[in-house]
Amino acid sequence: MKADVVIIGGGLSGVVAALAAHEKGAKVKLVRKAYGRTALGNGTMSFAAQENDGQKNTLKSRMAIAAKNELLPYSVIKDPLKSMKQAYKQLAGHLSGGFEREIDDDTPVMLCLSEGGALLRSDMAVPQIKSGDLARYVGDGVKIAVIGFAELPFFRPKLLKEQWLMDIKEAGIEKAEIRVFSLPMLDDGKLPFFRMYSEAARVIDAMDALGPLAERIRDEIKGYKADLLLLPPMMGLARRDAVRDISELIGLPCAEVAGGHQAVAGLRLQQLLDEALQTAGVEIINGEAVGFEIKDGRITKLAVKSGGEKADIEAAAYVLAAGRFIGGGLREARGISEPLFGLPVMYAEKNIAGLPAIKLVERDYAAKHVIFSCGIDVNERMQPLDEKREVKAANLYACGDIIGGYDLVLDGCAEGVALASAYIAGANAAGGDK
Amino acid sequence: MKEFDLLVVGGGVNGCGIARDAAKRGLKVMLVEKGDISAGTTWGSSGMIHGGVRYLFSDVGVTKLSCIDSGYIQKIAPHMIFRIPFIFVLPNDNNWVFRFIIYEGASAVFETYDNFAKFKGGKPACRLTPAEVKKLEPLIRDDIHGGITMDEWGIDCPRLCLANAKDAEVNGAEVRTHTRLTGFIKDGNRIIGAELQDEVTGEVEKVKARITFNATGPWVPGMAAMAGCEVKLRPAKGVHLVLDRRLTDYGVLCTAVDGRQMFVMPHENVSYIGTTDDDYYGDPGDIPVLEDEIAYLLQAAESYIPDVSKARVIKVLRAVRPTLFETGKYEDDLTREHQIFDHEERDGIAGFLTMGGGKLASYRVMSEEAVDLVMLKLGKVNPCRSHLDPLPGGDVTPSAEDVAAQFGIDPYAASRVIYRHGSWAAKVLESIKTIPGDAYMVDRYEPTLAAEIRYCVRNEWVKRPSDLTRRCRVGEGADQGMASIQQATQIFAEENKLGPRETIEAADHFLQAKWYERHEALSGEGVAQEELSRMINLGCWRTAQRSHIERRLP
Amino acid sequence: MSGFKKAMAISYIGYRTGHHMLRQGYKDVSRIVGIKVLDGIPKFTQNYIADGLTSLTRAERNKQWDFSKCINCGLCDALCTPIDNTRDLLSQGPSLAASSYSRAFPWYKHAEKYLSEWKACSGCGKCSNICPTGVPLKEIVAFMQRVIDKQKAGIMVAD
Repeated sequence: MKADVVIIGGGLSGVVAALAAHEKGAKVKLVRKAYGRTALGNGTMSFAAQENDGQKNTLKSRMAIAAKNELLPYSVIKDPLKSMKQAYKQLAGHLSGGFEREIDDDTPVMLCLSEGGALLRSDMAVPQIKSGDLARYVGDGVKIAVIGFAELPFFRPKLLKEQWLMDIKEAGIEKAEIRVFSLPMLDDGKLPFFRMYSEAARVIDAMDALGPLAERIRDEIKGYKADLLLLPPMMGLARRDAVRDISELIGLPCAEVAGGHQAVAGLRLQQLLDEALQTAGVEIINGEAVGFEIKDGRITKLAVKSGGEKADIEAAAYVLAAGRFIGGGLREARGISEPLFGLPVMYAEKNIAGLPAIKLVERDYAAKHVIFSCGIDVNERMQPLDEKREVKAANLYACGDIIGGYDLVLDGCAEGVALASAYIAGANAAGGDK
Repeated sequence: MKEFDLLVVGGGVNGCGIARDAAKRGLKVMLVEKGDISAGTTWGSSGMIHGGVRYLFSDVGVTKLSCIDSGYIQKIAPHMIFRIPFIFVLPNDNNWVFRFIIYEGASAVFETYDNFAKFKGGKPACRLTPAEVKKLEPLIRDDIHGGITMDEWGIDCPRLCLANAKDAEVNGAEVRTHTRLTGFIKDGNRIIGAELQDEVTGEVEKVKARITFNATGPWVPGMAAMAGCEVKLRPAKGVHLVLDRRLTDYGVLCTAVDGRQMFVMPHENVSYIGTTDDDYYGDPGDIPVLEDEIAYLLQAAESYIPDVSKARVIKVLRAVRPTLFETGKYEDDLTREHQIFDHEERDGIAGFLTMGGGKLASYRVMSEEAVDLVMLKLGKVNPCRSHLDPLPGGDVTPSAEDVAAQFGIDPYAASRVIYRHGSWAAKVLESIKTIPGDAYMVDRYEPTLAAEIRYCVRNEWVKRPSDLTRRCRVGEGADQGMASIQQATQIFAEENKLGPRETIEAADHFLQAKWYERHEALSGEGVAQEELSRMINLGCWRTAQRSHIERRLP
Repeated sequence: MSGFKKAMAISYIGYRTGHHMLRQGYKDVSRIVGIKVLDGIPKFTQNYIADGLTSLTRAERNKQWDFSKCINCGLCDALCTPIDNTRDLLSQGPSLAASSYSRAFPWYKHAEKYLSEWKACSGCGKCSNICPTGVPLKEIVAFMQRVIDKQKAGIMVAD
């Protein structure tokens, strides 16, 4: 098999890199062994969401704070905000309705309620969650109606209500009111409850029309003049417009809460990304990259195992976007390693490959453990560095979670790093800025 | 001020056993435990009511007693036990005389043990050729000289403790968990009561008791000192690795580098690799596991089953054995015999008794001895019945298919409820009749249904949701509660009408408690698991970020 | 006192060893003469088959490590086609095979209801394809069925 650029990994960063290379005119193939962290996400994206400038919290000011943190990969990238915006625009151009929101310097942080009773800070979210952004109510008041379906015993808005109010008030929305309503989602009484969100989501997919459900919701809230109506994180999987349709039928802005375990928003995002690849004509190979050949400082071949058979791909450039532990880009087996190219796994410029996991964790589960902040190091062109801090191969690039230096959750920058690094890596792999 | 005949301090297997026996004999009993029932040494035990083969070499009486008592425990709690056949693997050796001696010697020992094993329904030993050993356990290394088999009984120790405590309550005892004894009330040289403090609410209470029994395991010396007596123990730390599933149905007994016996054995729906035995003088409530200990256990297991390193370790059990003090011996030689200290005779402090040493398998007979002494001191007479009467749920074991049909649930889930609650299974699942959603699986791994969690919260002294790990194994699966901790905490909050801050802190405590039990042994898929767990618990639920509990040890 | 007990124990063991050697000699003679002596795997089978404690083949043992890779992410449940609109199923989805039902052999017999629902499996392979850690879900079900069949047939060791 031959290609101009091969992307290893098909999550957010892999897809963005593929599109970036494709836009530069390269013939791109993407190798993916499975879904990973992107498909399991809660549908929000964070670029510099945890930073706080104490005032307007615009994206630009928050990115400026984040860029000062030497550990974060932003410090290696020349203008991370610019690359992020370019990546985002490119992605939005390929997606069939998913990212209408502009990412701009002035964009304030998004505030969305989660299934976990919290108010999440993020920079972007899939449309079904984005419509629940409470940022515009800061300094003001808001009335929220929350719908719990009787068939979802594990979604308890009555219990979550006080937790949400706690967080909302702390965010500066002083006069917040939440009213919880409960009604059955279905009236056929087939099963008294759904076992998981995805099951309920697929029942929504199969509904002929959402009219009856919308009507029952409207009857239940009986003229409560809410500013926003929140639904559980399961409003359709293949069907993406359920929230929008219900909103139109009821006449109220609607949104989903951001989900936790087995919610479907991440899977929706992944499916959107897969569609973007298809429309761009990027071939997806369902297989696992298992080996490579290197000659004169260039990767000449990538060995791929697909359906029990092994084949080689020859490409001008390769982009490693395999993620961290869920994706398999990093692995723990008597030490942390990057199993495909054998790149050194680093933290704070220290090679931690020889250390056992016990030395990389702390007693407090919520700490920023080294094991969850480590990864490979790259230069400003997104080329991975070897033990001697030299470029491993002139035509090898990396992007996304596999790059170390940040905690995927606590540092609030994972998707920003993914977008910026993938855009640069993809463009460079296609022969961009030399 | 409440008055009791007997105040039992310590809610481990001994404390619960003593409370049950005493309550059944008509005493007015209070049981206090500073943490959760069975959260001390019992929580880190091997989970077997074994007969103690090793005591054939030092004190045959102990072996006989253990086997007889193991038989009693089977009768009073038949739903909780399961058989574990063991293959004692004999290493190969170039010297055929040596091989012969070892093989015949081991055969002799196990055949001798057969005479005692019959008291506990054990099956007779079998001699296996190397080929036969490999047929039964295909991944055992090639270089062996054969095997001898025998079997022991496994049991869920936290449920055993709970059943004893529940029976005590049924017989009129009062049980207080998360309640610390902060001081004694004395009348001259007699202990007549104690001051108790509730760890969760902070409330202080004073109670009077004619006899106080110190059954606090490794905390015995501290408690005795508070009473003005000295009891010396030689605490011995023991560590087990827990694997996510049964590797086989048989345990393998092997020899470690230092000659100690090690085992890889199935237990309920996990496997254990154990165990270590080292002097430990640190805090019994905060036991670190060292890299060396994990390496030692893996190395020993790997020397017999080379592929065991591919298995997934999900947590590490750690506990301190309250071994009696005897100087100048290697840890393993120390007797596991127990001793009851009568402080009136020994130190002149009346109304106070202590138990030291012992092993879990003999808890019932130890409790019987203890209560015999208590009865003597109180001048009462009433024979022990703890070996005759079944524990709660132990009278009849219902069929999983029947219970499943009754409540419209999966038979596998029903079998786990029956395992834990025996004939009380229908009571446990009752809420499904009024709340159909209570049949959903909160924790996929057992699986544990919401109904069982609700039942435990209402009836089994769950004062912190982390207690549920011991009641119904929430969070004991491969994901260590990634998904279920938050859900279980919500049910707990609902039942106890907690406010938002308390709920978040309860979840944080639960998350922290579970992390403590596995953070030294993260490996392989466990790290990917953790990555996902953080996305959910720190990314969506933001528990730690919003909790105000002191970020200290649970 | 314990020294005395120890001496008693050792002498007892010595006596038992002698007893054992005699018995062993008797057994060896019996075998030579042609009398059947129950030992080894036949005796083991007799002991434990009633509890359903069968053994695994080498191939089965080697597969087990892959079953443990499940991280309870739920992607397989979300994409399983037969679960679409078949809310009559009690099973909750393929993930349970990896995380729950396959863990403990003695209780496999209670999982037969769950396993029977896998007959609706269309073989599309979506579950195994998108599993982040590569759990071979369909193989787990086949594994469990084989063990149950062994338990029912009373076979201790299969080849």
